[in-house]
Amino acid sequence: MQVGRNLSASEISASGLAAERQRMEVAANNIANANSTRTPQGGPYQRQQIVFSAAYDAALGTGTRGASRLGGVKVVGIQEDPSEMPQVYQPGHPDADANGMVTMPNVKLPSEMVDLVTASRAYEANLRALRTCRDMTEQTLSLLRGTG
Amino acid sequence: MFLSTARHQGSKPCGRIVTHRRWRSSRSTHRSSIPFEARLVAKNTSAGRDPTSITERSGNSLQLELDGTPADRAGCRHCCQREPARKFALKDLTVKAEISDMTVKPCQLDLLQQLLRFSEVRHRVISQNVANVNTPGYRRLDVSFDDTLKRVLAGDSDSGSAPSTPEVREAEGFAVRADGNNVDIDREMGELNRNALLFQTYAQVLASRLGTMRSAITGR
Repeated sequence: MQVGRNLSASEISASGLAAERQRMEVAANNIANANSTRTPQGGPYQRQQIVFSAAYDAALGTGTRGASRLGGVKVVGIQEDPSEMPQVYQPGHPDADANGMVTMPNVKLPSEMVDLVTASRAYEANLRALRTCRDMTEQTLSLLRGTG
Repeated sequence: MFLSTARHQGSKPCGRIVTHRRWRSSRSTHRSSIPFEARLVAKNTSAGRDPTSITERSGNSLQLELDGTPADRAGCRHCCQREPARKFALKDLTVKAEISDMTVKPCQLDLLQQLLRFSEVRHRVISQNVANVNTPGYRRLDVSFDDTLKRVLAGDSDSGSAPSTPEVREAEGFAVRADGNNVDIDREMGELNRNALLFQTYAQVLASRLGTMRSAITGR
């Protein structure tokens, strides 16, 4: 097992776990705010989406793509979804404009649920990879014990 | 291989003290039951050579050369008719011991070590693929050891030389989804399982090799 300045397999899997957990949090936040027409910034809630990026250890340079450069996944940021906000005719609504139209958040529940399921499956897969890494390390250590 | 002198006893002991050679020669059909013994006396040497020079030479066996010029054959004629005792004039006596170099040949431990390393590298690549299963535009990475493994398996002379690093590159020929990602999570899980089993196999083989060596060393 590589210990040292290279990212080990368990760190790669841990970065995947953290990224998927953040994705789940973002999806949960979107679902909770699916009907929020007011935000501290004014205006209705805009759907947020998370941006992932594959990470490579840039410190080692851009030489040949070796396995020592693998860095897992990195969350670049959380951005607003610029897609169109639906407008609903509700004249009695406190946030209705002059025409009686209320701008609702552009959160679509089915796509949020799919995101949740995808994130949870990816989380399980990363957890499985982490567990396998731990098993492999334990087997290597058992060589020292001399019972093998 | 030293020994002391033995009193010559034949059918009729004559009391002469002679030196005999210990191990059997091709002509040792001597009836006497005396163990032949030889004495290594570093007398000497007119040639100026160190009689007890030990030269190291690479080989696999321990050889011993004992040169001696037999002196007069005036051995024991009285009781030893067949095989006259040979007296070595211990003049130019050199002992050349060829000791094999005390290194453990690479044999299979090197190969197993390489395989374990390769398995660990492959696991890291699979972990990278699994961590990036939802990253848009990410292409699946793959590792190839075939050429390196072939070279190691061919048993070339420098099998213990610097190990080469396996190459990580993007895999071709996998379906790309709408977000530009071509990682199939089920395939990655299958690869993960397979790699874990291979690692376990290599580790167990290595453990059994080490156990054999350990029992050979300790004698238990």
